[in-house]
Amino acid sequence: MKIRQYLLKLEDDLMTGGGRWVADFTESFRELPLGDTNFDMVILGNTRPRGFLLSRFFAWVALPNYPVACFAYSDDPDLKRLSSSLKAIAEYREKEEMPWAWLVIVNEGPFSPRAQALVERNDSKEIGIALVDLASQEITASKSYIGRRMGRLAKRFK
Amino acid sequence: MKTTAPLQIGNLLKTIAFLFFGLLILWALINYLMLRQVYLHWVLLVFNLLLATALGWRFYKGNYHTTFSYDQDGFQIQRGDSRLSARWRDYSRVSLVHLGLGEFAVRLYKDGDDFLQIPVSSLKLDPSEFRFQAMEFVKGQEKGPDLGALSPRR
Repeated sequence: MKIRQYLLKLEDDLMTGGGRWVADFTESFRELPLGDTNFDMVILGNTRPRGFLLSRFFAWVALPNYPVACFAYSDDPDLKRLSSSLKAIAEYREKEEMPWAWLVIVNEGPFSPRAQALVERNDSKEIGIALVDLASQEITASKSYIGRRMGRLAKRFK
Repeated sequence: MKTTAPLQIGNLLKTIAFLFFGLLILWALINYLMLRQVYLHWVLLVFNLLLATALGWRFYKGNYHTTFSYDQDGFQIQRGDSRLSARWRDYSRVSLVHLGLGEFAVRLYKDGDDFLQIPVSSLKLDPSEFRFQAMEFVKGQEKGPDLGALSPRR
């Protein structure tokens, strides 16, 4: 599977599939420069879905209302761009008062063991990171709750 | 220039149904006020349906029907009686928006948060493919990306 094809599936799943159980992802940008990083995809959403009549009322009463986002970039097996992308995401989160975000890094091959260990050790509650190896279809996710959640959502290989 | 102007069956049927029941209720009210009884006959229902279809078609054409023409330089969108022509180079960013119930639109952003929305699902265009095509058109004549203006819609 190619990166473009994978990102299309992930985008579709976040906007119209399983991602909607987490947040209402409504808007997707491609090839978006943010800070020093050029993200392949940025999907923006909100934890409160719009709904209609009863579901809208339920969402208004029961669900929190804050923006969330999923950032994705590719071709970085050694995570050389991780630090600059995390900085860009942190600045964006602060500006938009976004409690958490996801970062998906896609590669058509294995990530270096150091990169995998780095992500596995990450327990940040503000950003969930998932490394997606399209060749072996393996996913390495950070160990926080949102990281593990992203790890499950990122399995979109078929 | 490529042109697409598909019939939006959902909007047309919604308009006709609304007018049909509206005219029926109006007829019943007038009958009751004048005769103290409601006169209904199948001929009347057929006439009402024909009238609702004719009025509904006019209303649909004047308010919902969308025609979209585009080439690599620019596009023209007409919804009902309102028409807008623009060039791709007037815009700097493109996004794909899920409107709910599987309906998508493509948003073209000018600098800042000002955007124009093209209802691609209503126009029977492939949302994702058209988004990439629009990105190419915008990028081909881009003034330069706006780095700081990305903002989620709430």
